[in-house]
Formats: sequence, structure tokens, C-alpha cells
Amino acid sequence: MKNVIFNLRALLMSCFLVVGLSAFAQVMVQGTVIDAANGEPIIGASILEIGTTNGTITDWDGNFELKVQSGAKLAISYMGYKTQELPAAPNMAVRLGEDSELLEEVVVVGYGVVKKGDATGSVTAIKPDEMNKGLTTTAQDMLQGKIAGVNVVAADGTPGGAGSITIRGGASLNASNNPLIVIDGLAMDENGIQGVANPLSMVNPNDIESFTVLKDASATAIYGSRASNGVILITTKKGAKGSKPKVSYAGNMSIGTLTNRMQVLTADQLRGYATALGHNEDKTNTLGTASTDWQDQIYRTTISTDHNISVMGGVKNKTVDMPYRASIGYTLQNGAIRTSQMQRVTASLNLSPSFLDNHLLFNINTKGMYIYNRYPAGVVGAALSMDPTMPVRGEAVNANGDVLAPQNVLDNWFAGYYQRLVTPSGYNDDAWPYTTNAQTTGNPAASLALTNDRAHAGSFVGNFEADYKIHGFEDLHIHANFGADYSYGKQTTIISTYSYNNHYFGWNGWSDMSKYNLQFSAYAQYGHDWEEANQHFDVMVGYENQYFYRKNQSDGSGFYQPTNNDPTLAGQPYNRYKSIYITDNALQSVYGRINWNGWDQILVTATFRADASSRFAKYNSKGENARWGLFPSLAIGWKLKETFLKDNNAVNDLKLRIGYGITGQQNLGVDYYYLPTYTTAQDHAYYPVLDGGVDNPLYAGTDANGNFVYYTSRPGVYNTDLTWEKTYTSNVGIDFAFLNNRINGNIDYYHRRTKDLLSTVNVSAGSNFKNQMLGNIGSLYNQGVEFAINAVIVDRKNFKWDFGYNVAWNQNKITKLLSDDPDYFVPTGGIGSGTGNTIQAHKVGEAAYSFLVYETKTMVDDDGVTRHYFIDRNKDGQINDNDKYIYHNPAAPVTMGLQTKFQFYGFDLGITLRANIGNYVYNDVLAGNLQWVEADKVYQNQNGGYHSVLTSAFTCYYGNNMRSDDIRTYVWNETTQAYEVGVDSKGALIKNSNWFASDFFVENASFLRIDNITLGYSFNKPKVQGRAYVTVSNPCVFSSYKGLDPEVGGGIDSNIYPRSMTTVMGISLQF
Amino acid sequence: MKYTKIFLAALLGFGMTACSLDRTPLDPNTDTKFDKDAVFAKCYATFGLTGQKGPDGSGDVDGIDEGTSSFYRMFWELNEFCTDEGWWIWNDVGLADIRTLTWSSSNDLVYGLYSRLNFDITLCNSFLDKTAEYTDAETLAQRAEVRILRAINFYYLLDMFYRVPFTLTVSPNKPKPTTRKALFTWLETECLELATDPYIIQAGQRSNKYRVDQACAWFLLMRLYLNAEVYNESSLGAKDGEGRYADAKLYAKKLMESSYQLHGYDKAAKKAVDLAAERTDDHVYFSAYQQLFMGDNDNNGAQNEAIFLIYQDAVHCWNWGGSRFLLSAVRDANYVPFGSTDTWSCFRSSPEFVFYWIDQTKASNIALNEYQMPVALGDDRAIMASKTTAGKKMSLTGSEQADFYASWSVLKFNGIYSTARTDTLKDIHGNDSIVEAPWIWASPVGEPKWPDTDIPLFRLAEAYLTYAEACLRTGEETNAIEAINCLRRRANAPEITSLDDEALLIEWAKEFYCEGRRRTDLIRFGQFAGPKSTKTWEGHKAGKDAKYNVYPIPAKDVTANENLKGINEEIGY
Repeated sequence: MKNVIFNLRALLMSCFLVVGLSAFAQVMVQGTVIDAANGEPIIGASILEIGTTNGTITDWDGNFELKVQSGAKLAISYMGYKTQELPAAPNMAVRLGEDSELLEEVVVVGYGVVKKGDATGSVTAIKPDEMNKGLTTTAQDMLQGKIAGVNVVAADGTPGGAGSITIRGGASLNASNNPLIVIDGLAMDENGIQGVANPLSMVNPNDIESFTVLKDASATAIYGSRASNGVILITTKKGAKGSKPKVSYAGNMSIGTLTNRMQVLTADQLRGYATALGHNEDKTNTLGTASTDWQDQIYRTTISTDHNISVMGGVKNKTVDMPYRASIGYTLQNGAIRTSQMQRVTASLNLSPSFLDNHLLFNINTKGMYIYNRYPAGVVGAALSMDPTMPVRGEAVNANGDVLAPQNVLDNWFAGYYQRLVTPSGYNDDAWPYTTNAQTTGNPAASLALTNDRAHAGSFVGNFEADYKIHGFEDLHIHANFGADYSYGKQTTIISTYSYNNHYFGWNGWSDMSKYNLQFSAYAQYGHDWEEANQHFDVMVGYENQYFYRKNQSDGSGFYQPTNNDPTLAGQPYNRYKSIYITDNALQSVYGRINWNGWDQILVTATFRADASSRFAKYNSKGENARWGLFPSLAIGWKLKETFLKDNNAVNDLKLRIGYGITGQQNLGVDYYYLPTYTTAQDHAYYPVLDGGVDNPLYAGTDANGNFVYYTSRPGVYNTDLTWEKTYTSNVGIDFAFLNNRINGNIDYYHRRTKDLLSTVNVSAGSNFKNQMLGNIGSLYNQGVEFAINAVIVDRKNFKWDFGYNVAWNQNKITKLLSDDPDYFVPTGGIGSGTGNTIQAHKVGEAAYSFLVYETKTMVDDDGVTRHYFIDRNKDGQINDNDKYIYHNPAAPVTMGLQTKFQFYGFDLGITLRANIGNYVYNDVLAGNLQWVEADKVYQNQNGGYHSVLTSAFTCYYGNNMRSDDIRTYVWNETTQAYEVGVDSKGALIKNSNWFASDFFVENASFLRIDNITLGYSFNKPKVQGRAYVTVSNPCVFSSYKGLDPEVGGGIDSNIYPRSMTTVMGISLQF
Repeated sequence: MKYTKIFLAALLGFGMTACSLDRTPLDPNTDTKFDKDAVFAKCYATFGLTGQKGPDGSGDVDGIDEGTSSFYRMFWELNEFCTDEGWWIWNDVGLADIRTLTWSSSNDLVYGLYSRLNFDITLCNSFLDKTAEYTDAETLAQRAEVRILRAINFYYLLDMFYRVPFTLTVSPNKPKPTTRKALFTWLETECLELATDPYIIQAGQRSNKYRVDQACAWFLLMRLYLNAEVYNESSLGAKDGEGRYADAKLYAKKLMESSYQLHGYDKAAKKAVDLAAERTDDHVYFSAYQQLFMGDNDNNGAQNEAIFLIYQDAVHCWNWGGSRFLLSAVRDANYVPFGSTDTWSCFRSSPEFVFYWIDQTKASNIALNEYQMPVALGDDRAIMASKTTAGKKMSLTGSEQADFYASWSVLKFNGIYSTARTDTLKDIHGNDSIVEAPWIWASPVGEPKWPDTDIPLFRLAEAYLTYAEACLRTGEETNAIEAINCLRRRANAPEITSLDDEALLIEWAKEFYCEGRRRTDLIRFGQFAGPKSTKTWEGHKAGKDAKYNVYPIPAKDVTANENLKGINEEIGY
């Protein structure tokens, strides 16, 4: 990591170019800075006239020029080297020696910073790789593949879409598995709002100085309450003390193209297929003569742009020393599905003044964002099934010239778009004699054109930090942080009266959310070095409280057309939904930490945190405390290098870390769950059994339309025993660095056991107001090994080759659930086929979200036909749910990332790759399509027309003979003690209609993805430095998975928004 | 020190902003108070809704798709799918096992039904707990009604399960299982007590047609007594319980003589009322039997036959499991307009059911819609279609496959008002009438997907058939025949002159198909499961294990309640 980071530092250093105040007797100094070890020039070394802010940095050849006062002293420094102080001379040749104790870099940890070399927990800090970052619309894109054990799945191709981040496997089943995100000390609420997918979207990637990922409990326990799934700390950029204003611009333009689409039957193939099936004219006459590629109609090539300007510097005078940074950014991202778009404006301001001789430090961060999103109608599935023989717009005719949908009808009632028509039953409007056939596919081009679904959102995040070092007792300082996050988002959806889904009535509605989150924390820290004894000790104690508030509202309706036959309805709202929801919760915490560094060899960190959550009862049913959770941790680091290898020059660092700690989880998705409450009926859920209700306001009122209704009230399920879910983590790790730190890395083993899982618990019938409720039952563990290595393979004057690789193995296993019954499982993972079917299960002894399917055996029958059989695994002579078995799971046991970069003179070439091995995906798209290939079903009787089918479903059906209408059963015969083909009483073969639950559709979705390839050129002119680059993002993915994209969140592939390949051309400049 | 003090003071100021951890709900739809009348209304609402938001979004029951968690849909599916009446096409979770009698204690539909009934009972228990101290007449009357509602839910537990956990109060203590006999006795006692409760509304005197009265208690007693041989049997399928036919007759008679009446039947004159004579020129004729299942069945006269009517409404009361499901499941887009724009095409008859009406060879030649079929078969109750308006003819192969057209459609429920106009519809080419029945349905005020059709859960006609069956069992064949002929006259069907078991079982099917009671009837006639059953039908073999006469207690409740350990093993699950 060191070299990558430090060379980036070199780039960043250029930001700190400072010019001193004018003076009288000045001398021009010229010089070169080289590496004492190999004589290579050092690029970006900093030269500072001591006692002033006058300075410069070295260029690509290690040269510098600086005007200084005569007799001045210069400090020449470069990260990783020992700083030298030399008297100024007209010609200087400076040789910098490497600093063997270079791990002085500090990393941000919870409530403070720690020297990287002194970190005892599993903490990974990264700086965004400015040179090969690819297309980074949100901050999470920058983490993808960079850190072992941090698994980032971008949701799909939605502009600005939410993804998921999982650190070291999910620790929870029902509660949230998202890591806690802390931006500049402010712990964010994890809920997104309209237009803002998650809190990471709230910070412009260009403003990010560093990420710190806290992975093990010894690092995260200080965040106790919400840290079970790890913590991501984001620090934004700040200005440099006393520096001259510096303006930076970074901008790019990108072109997105879809490289991969689903193959479906073309119009000619469909017509040919209908003929081949021997369909009669009644059927084939419903085929049109057009040839439409419906995917062409919904997808497009996009052009997007991104611009960012920042100003940074530092004001310095007698009373105040205030670095500042301000930035503004604009992003326009067009989505691959037509009409979808995101526009975002971000602004940030950071001020970090210090007063009273550096005793009082303020740090003020404000970030504002405005975001606009236009969402496409859901058309991905429709484009795959829409009849390709039909035109996009206008009259459809069949081969005989019969008009299937007349032009004037389409023009008058369907905005000109082709639809399959039927006579409406229920409009009661003579002016609307036609409607869409609800059993057919809606024209996806029409859906896009006739739907206007957009969201506007604004958010503000601000915090004010104050740190005061006690005058006269400087070992003690008090730190306070007051922060707030306010967001408001509103989504407006307008659907035309000519649309497929909302024909006649249309739809006009909105929903909004406002939420805020207030946080106050304060801590006092005492630290002291006993230099003679070589002991360092510090202790910190703090208090924090947080409050979260969220309010959702929505309102919407269709409208009866003014021509409605019933004059009392004409023009009136129809099907109005109006709702409101408000909730809040609060947390109070005390925390503390003790650090001890003895003899620079032994490091001990102990933390504790106690959290109280308003989501739990003060006293549970046994009168015990359920509200407070205690989260301690202890970690020990042993600097082996300092103990045994002090004189070994080959080994630069070797440190053993051992840690243990407890973290908690209270994010259930619901508040007040321990309270008995009553829920009032809303929205079309009224029941009129009370007479004379008008006079009784208690149970009667008006609905959204102002009509009189009868309310009902339902007692809700509650659980006073609900309490913290706790995760116990052990971690053992080694940090190492060799060969002048050119190779460094770490290896970690962890074991995380979660107990009292917040789970859905079956309630004994009759004992509470629901059959299931949230409770604390069950446990699971994750264990894994992570390995990361960074190497500078070539390090010459004008050629440098860096390499970084990380790999993680994680195993997830559920060890306890509600029941001891070995067959017990919790179904999960809803799929498209049928109603209420699931394909996944949580089961003891297996990974969470494992697939639960029928074992399917392929055999060649006596008649030479290949057939598929469900196996009677439990040998009871029949095939039912009990024969399903666990077959793989969606989480990849092995994930890896690789980054490499070549720098040659001013050019750089970087590549990042990412791979998942052993992850499985249920191909719901294929399973759903399979039944449409059945002999007649490509023509649906009730629809009176054809629809298209995936060609992969054809391959399955005809190539593999995997037939949705012909899954046979292979059952155990108790008498013969052998498996045989199942037959019914009449001797007929028993078939099973649960084709979709076959293991056939669970596919290995291991993949290798090239995330980015970047070619750049950097230049460094006296007045301007900068870089121009071209990046290709997501050029290709290698996988045997048969669906569109193997990277599917949750493991069930159902028509995802496809991810584009993006070519980015960009430039960054600093003045 | 000055700065230190200022700093600490500022900190303290911020620290004061800390908010209490004892939050109370802010949501306007959430309350912490018991609202007696609103909870009373909820006890009723559990019959017609699946939760506090329509059609879904705040379900009463978890762990199953909310749309399918409806009281009516759950017991309907588990009483119909496994019988000779019909076949559900979709691959809903757990369905295949119901159709073929291979279910286990992990079946999701069984879990859904069990959870729904127990939720309803818990809700009633809670209302009764909370109102135990009330003494005002209004509350005492409400308590009596809630006890009837609770008894209805207990009745379905009794009918569909063997031994169930039993409690009459809400407490964290896990209930112990009762025996089927004990539950029978408790229900009998409860209903007898309610039938004479001084605060119960007298039979036929209710002011609100969706509430229950004394007649509902009689109705439950009648059902209990008719099935007493089954409910009190010594082992599953033995049917050796004490017969209570005299009692069944008694309560059936009470109902027949009450002010409730068969719609379209003149009891005194012993003949059907000619409803057609009452129509004006622009109205079409709907038979009295058809009117029982139409959009205005709460005020076209049919409400007088409904001893318990479940409210459904196109504006106020939406759910996926009530009449929406009854209407939409049985049709595709090419059917005579029926009062909803939504068609699921997932439930049809099985061929065996069709052959109760007409023999196999004739049946395959008929291509008629549901308004022509009753005329052709000479029975107003034969509301079936053997073709769609698009000309698709049903095959009658009943191939046990996902084929909606493998047997006739059963279309007795629709959403049309009986005041519908006789306008002619144009098709998309401007030609007359792509539909064959010439009317536009008289629209209810509301969303055209959701019907106004209420559900007659308890219908007086059942008293006639119960009376007939009880008479047949006690050797009064003439009385039995007369009771059945009342229903047949009302349906303009030819009268019968003789009656045997097989004919009576078919008569039950003809009067009550698609009303969710077939399984109970088949069991009472010994024709469902068990070594003595001889009937076969689509997906069903004769002689299935007798354990299938009841559903097992869901494994999920067995794991949650240790008192239930081994309860399914006792009956062979």
C-alpha cells in the first residue's frame, strides 16, 4: 500500500505548492533531489524555507528552483524518507535516505486517529486512486475490488443506483447488513430517500480524501451499536495551512454502450416457429408483418458528463490560521434505458481554523446536494416478451393484410402506439370503447414515452467539530462534534391515460420523505509520553447521542375521464391512495478507549461502549434491562520487527495483531416494536358494521376521497424481550513490509459469531397478535482469511510499475435457528413463477440464502429421449417440498481484486480487475421463460396473440429437453428398494409442475470482470499541472453464466437494468 | 481556565439536547389506546380483508403472500383444490401438494389458514378480555357477536384440523392442545349459550346486514350436528361418532322457518318467484340463483338468504382473497363482461364435476357461455362456460396440467348488477357485439377491477340440504326429497323423485360448488380419503391414507409451542 499511496501523495503534494511573502535579499536556489539508495530522482519532494510558508516541489527529474532569503534554511522532505534540513545554497544536490520507521502515516479510526504503525485492529485505509478510478458516480464505486473482504455490488445499471456493501460476509439475517458509514465524524442514517440511494451518494467522490474501513471488532467496537457489519469512515479533503489559493478542475465526458443483451426470437424466427408448430390460421393471422427489435426501442447509447471545481488554501494572520476548501460539482448521467437520467449538483465547504496558539481547533464541514432523477418505466421484461412482429407505432397488419389494430383507434386511445386491444369492461364511458389487453405485454416504447417518473431531492450534511487543548495542561484535550443531516426528496409519477398500465384513468401521484438525524458527541482525551521509559499512554472517554426522524407521505390517484357516462364520476379522482408514516428513534452512548504503547514493541488498545436504543424496552418481561448493550474490545499488537528484527534490513515491518470484541445491531427496520400498539385501517380497508357511525368520530371518518368510512383498529404484535443482536469477533493478523517497503501487505484471519440474531420467530398460536414476530433467536458465524499485497515491481527514474492484489475467503454458516428440527428452514428469496414461491432458505449448517431446490437428474429414456426427473431424496415414494435440498448459495466464497499501473515518463496505464469465484445465481428470467416455449404457449389463447421468448429458453427446451411441462418424478420404491419412474394408479407417468424449483436453474456465476483500463498523460508546467486520460469502464466480464450479467445482488436474476460499458475521456487541471 | 469553562458550558448546552429513549409512536395511524368500537369492527373485518390497508400492505398474517392470507380464500382453497370440483392452474407455493393429497406439516397454505384462523381468534379473545368489565347493553351485545365470530373461526379449526391448541384469552402462556371431541363439545355449548344469550340480536332482527344474529349460532349448531359422526370419530376416517341428525334437523328447521328466506322462492306457494316478470324493458333477466352471487347481492333480495354476509366493495374494501379472487381466478380476457377488468385464468372445474351435470359424450359437443349453459342444462345453477367469447372451446381432458382450458369454467360469481342495461357493445372494428350477452354491467362506483359482490358465507340453502340429509339418514326420504325440490324449484330445475347417497352428494355440489365446502361434504360421505373411499377425480386416487381427512398442525407452530410436540405423529403425519 505504501508505494501506491505515497506516489499519490506526490501528486497531492503538487497541491501544496506555496509561495512565500516577498522579502528583500533573495537568493535563487536550484537543486536536485535524489534517492540516496539508488540515485533515482525523487519526484514531488517538498522543499520548504524553514520558518516561512515559502516552498516548492521537485519536478519529474527531481529538479527544483526556489527564491529564498539569503541565509535561509531549507527543509527537504518526501513521504517515506527522512527529512533533511540544509542551509540554502545556489546549487544543491540533496540525497534523501529512506526512513525505516516510515509507517508514521496516520489513519482515521473511530473518535480519533492512530499512526498506521500503531494500529492494532484490522483497519484498511485507502486513498482514491486518482489515476485509475474509472467511472465513479458514487463513493462506493471507488471501493469496488480495492479492499480484501469488502464486497461491493453495484445494484445494476441504474444511474446513481444503490448497491450493496458487505464487509466480511453478512452478520445478520433479518436486520441490516450494511456497514455503518461515517462521514467526517457524522454517523449517517442508512435509509435512502427518493432520488438518493444511500448515504454514500451524499458525498461527491472528488471531495474524498480517504476511506478507512474498520473490519474487526477491536476497531469497530468503539462504534458499538451499529458496527456489527463494519464501519466505513470517509474523510473529505481539507485545505493546507497557510497555502496560496489553488484551483483545481476535474471533468470528464463518458459514452455508455451496452455490450450484452438478451437474445430473443426475432420476428422472422417467431413467424417461422409458429409455422413449424403447425399453428392454424386463427393463430398465425394474429402475427404482424413488422420486424421490431424491442430491446432497440428501450436501450440507447448515452453521453454523460461530470465537472468538478475546487478551491483550497489557507488564510493566516495573527489571530487565526484557517485552511479552507470549497468545491462544486455537477454530474449528468444518462441511463442505458431511454428516458432514465440523473443530474446532481454537489457543493462542499470545509473550514478548519485554529485559535489560541493551536489550542482551539474548529473543523466545519458542510455538504449540500441537489439531485434530480428520472426513472424509466419497468420495461426490461416487456422488451423481452413483446411480440416482435408488431410495429412500435401505428397500424398492425397481418400477412393477409387484415388490420389487427387500426391506425385511428391507436391514435385516438393509445397515443399512436401499437397495443393489443380489447373492449373495456367497466369504464362505462361511450367515448372510450377500447382498452389494452391486460394479459398481453405492454408496448415498452409506449411505457417509456407515457410515463414521467421523476424525483428531486436535496440534502444537507453539516458538522461542527471543536477541539480544545487545556491551557496549561496540554496532555488533555476535549473534543465535541455536533452534526446534522437533513434530506428531503419528492418523487412525482405521472402516467398517461393512454398508457398500457393505467389506461383511461391515468395516474398522477407523488411520494416524499423528509428525514433528519442529529448527533452530538463529546470526548475528553488524555495522552502522555514518558520518553525516558519509552512508554506512551492515552485514555479517552466520551458521550454521544443521536436522534433519527423520518416522515413519508404519499398521495395519488387516477381520474375518470370527463366523458364518463356517470356525470357524478366524470373528472373525479379514481383509486386514490393517500398515506402518511412517521417514525423516530434515538440512541445514547458512552464510550472510551485506552491505548498503551510500551517500548515501541507492545501495543494494547482496549475500548468499551455502552449503547441504549429506543427500539428496545427498558425492562423486558423478566424485568431485566433490554435497552442497554455493552460492547467491549481488546487488541494487542506486537511489533516483531522492533523486537527481533531490529537489525534486519530486508524486513521493514512485521507486526502481529490479535483482537477480540463485541459489536451490536439494532437496525430492525421498525421502531417501537416492544410497545403494544393499535393500527388504524387506511386505504380501501374499511368495514361497515357499526351503525350511526357519523356521530361517533372514534371509529368513523372520511377516506382520501372525502367519503364516509368505518375505521377498524388492530392490536399489533409486540415483543418486550427484543434486544441487541451481538457479534463476537476474533481477529489475528500480520502486517509486513520488505525490500525497502517495496513489498508490503497483510494477512488476517477472522471469526465472527453472531448471537441472538434478530430473526423472524414463529409465535405460538393464540399468544400474540401475529403468527410471526421479531425475536432474538439463532446464531451464525462468518470466518475467513484475507490477504492483500502491494508491490512496486519496477521503480526506475522514468518507469514505475505498481501492483496490488487482494483476495478474501469467507465462509458463512448458520448454526442455530428457531427449531432444533434438522429439516427446519426459513424460506426466503421470492421468485417470479407462481405466487409466493421462494427459492432460497436459511437452514442450520448451511450458508444464509442458500438455494433450496429439487435435485434434478437427467436420464435417457427407453425411447431415446432425454428427460429430467425430480429425485425423491427422502425416499417416501412421493415428490413434495420435503425432497428439496440445499444447493449452493449466492455469496462468493472467494473474491479478489487486482490493480496494476505502469508509469512511463508522463504516461500511465492502469488496469483493475475483479473476480468472484464460487457464487451461484438462480436464473429466474430463464425459468420464467421456459414455460412459454411449451408447444402452444408462445401463442396464448387468452391473449389472442404471440409473444417472444428468450432463445436460451429454446436451447433449454429443445436442446436440453428441459421442459416446464414434462418434469417427471423418480421415486423410491420401498418394496424393490430402488428408484423408479413415478406412475399413478392408471400407470400414467406422474409429472411435477414445479419445474422452476429445479437445481437446473441455479447456475455457477463465477466471473472475472475488467473494471477499468485507463491510459493517461500527466504534465507539469510552471503555471498548471494536470492530466488527461481515457478510461474504459466495464469493458468485459468473463463468466459461464447464461443470463445477462453474473453479478446479481441477492442471487436471483430477474431482468436487471443492464450495466453499460463506459468510455470516459477526462482531464484534471490545477492552477 | 476561562476558555475551559466556556468550552464546557457550550458542551453542556449541546448535551441537553439529548432526547429521551422512551419514544412513543408518532405515526397518526398508530395508537397505544384500546378503541372498543374500532376493534369490534376489526373482528368482523378479518372476514373480508387481509389487513389494515387495502388491498395489501399491512397484513394480519405473516409468512404467506398477503393476497392469499384471506380468511375466505384460505379455507376455500383448502376445501376446494383437493376435491372433484376444480383445479388451480398456477404454481402457487404449496398448491401442488394440496391438489394431489401429498401435503405435509410444512405446507405453506395450511400454515396460512391455521395462522389466519388463530389470528382471528386471538383478536376476538383480546376484545373479550378488554371488555370483560363492561356492563352496558351495547357492549354486551357486541361481546355476544364477537363470541359468534370466534366460534366460526373455531369451527373451521375443528373441521380442518384434528387437535388444535385452545385458549380463550390472550396471554404469553402457550396454549395446550384440546381434543377434537372436546372442541366439538365446547363449540356446541358455546353456540347453545349464544343462541339464548339475552343480548344477542334475535334471528332476522339485525339492523346491519353484515352483522351476525341468533340465526348464526343456530347455523353453526346445525353444521356441527350434521358432521357429528366425523367430528367425534374415534380415529380418522372411522366415522363412528354419535350421529346427531335429529339435532341437525331441529336447527335446520329453525332456520327454514325464520325470517330468512331463499331468494326468489315463495315458501308458502312452494314455487319460484318469477323475477323476470319484475324486470323493465331495458333490464335483462338474471336468475334468482345467479343474483345470489352478483355485484348488488347486498340489496337485490339475495341478502335475505345470507345468514352471514361478508362485505366486499369496489371503493372501500379491497383484498385479493375475497370476491376479487372468485371473479378473476376463473376467467381469461375473453369472457362475457363480468364486472372486473382483471382476469387471472387460473381456476377451472375438473371434468368429473362437469359430468355431474351432463354425461361425457354430450358434454364434449357443447360450446356455450355461462348465460346459455343454464338454459341448455335446464338448471339455473349450471353457471358454467364451455367456450370463451374468442371461440376457444374447453377440452374436458382435465389433464392435471397447467391448462386452463382442460375443463369448463365455473362462473357463478360475477360483479355485474342485476339492474344491468341491454346496450350493445361494439368490437374494435366497430362491429356489433364481440360479446354474446348484450349488456353493459351497471357499474358500481369504484375501480372496475374490484367488485362489489359480497360473499354469502352462510346461506339459508344449506339448511334445506342439511335438513334433506338429516332426514335421509333418519329414514324420512319424502321430507328429504321435498327439501331438495325447494332448491331445485328455485333454480328452475326438474324436481327429483328419489334420493340416494350418491345423488345427495351431487346435489350438494350443484348447489354449493365454489363456495368452499366440498371437502367437508366428501369426508362426511366417506369419499375423501381413507381405505373405504371409492371416488377418483383429476389428481386424486381413491383409498388415500385417512390422515388426509385433516390437515396437520403446521410445523412452525409445533416448533413455537412445545405443548404440541408429537401432535402430528399421533395422526400419521
